Amino acid sequence: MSDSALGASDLRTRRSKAALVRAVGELLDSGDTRPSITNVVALAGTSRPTFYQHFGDVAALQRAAAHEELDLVFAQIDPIDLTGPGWERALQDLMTLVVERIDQRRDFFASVMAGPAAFDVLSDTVAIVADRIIARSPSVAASGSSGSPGSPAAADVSRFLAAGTVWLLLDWVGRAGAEPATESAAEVAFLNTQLLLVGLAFLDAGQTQTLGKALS
Amino acid sequence: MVREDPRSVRSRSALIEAMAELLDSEASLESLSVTDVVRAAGVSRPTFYQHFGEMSLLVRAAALHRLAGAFADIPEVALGESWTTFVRGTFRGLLLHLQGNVVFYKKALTSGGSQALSEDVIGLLAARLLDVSPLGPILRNRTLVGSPEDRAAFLAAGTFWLVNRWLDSDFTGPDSVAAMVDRISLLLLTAAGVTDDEIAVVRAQTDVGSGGSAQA
Repeated sequence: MSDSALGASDLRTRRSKAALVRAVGELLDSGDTRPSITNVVALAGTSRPTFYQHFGDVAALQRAAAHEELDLVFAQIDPIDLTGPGWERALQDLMTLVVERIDQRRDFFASVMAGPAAFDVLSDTVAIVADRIIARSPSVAASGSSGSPGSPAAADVSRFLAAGTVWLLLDWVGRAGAEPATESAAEVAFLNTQLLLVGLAFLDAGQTQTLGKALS
Repeated sequence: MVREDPRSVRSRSALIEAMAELLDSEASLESLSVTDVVRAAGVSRPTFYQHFGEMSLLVRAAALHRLAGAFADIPEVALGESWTTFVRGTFRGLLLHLQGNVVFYKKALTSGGSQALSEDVIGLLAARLLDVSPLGPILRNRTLVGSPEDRAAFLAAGTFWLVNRWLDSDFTGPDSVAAMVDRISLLLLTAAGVTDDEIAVVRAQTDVGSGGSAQA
């Protein structure tokens, strides 16, 4: 639907929602891990009733703001082609873009992860990344979506790898505030790519079947 | 080390115990006030603030206290033990403990400020994987980018997340404790990309040496 087709009140609603998301983003950027509703509505130029019309609490607003950030990241990396030969290199490029983007908004992410929306944001992010792993990794798709004996189910593998990756990235964001210059963005991107590739490439080799027996 | 005032130690444990009981109960954390907690613990508000500053820190302390107890009860297998012995011994006990305390842990892990608790749990798991599991020497022998600690954290975060989701399951079929242990086992090996050669090297090391072969 185009904006002109929306009623004036719909437009106002949409604008006030965007203003709230922007306002909480600014407060999180400034290192405020628990922005109050009072501060958010003051900065957004809206009223408390308007706030509650859109969000149940500030945690829900933070979650929405984080979701918008994630959408921006994925809009950037989704077009990257991972199907051809040399996809490992493309994955590395993709990861570098992600890390750079998170690095640009590190205060935002560090504040969110120190606050009340941390669990929901972690949950959302792992789910989104796991979906991408299933949709875009040929090796996971081939690894037995039904979970045949001796090989892990694709849903399990994708969530496991997604959680590992997301955790290392968020942990890096959180740590960097306290102890500057632990690892550079490029180093973190490289590390994450390698760890992901180990998990993914291994599936390709189809060796999982024998693992259980070999280690018994 | 400064010897702590026994009264202070007592009031701290009283607060942790009171919070643990509240986490076990059906009461939601959002509805809990500092007043409820200090009343249940039989201490004053200033005492609460002296120890914890805010509720999320007390929740974290109470959860970690119980979890550390569970970890302490799980025998640390010798490095030479087989993977199956390690996985079954470690994760069966851990999952049974979590299942028996499911209300408690779900509340603690989804509460505001749960990120710090997740970090604690992933840290405990990563240390087990690195220091006492047969995977430890494999993670240390790798010449990949990053540290063994990074690799262990990646695997621990993946495991943590799967177990976190498992807490929402009905604990039957593929979500029974026994089946879940096998799923975790396979995922750890898959995500770590463990090869038969690596297993053979670790076997040889642990057969010859008397443990401490991690840096070979």
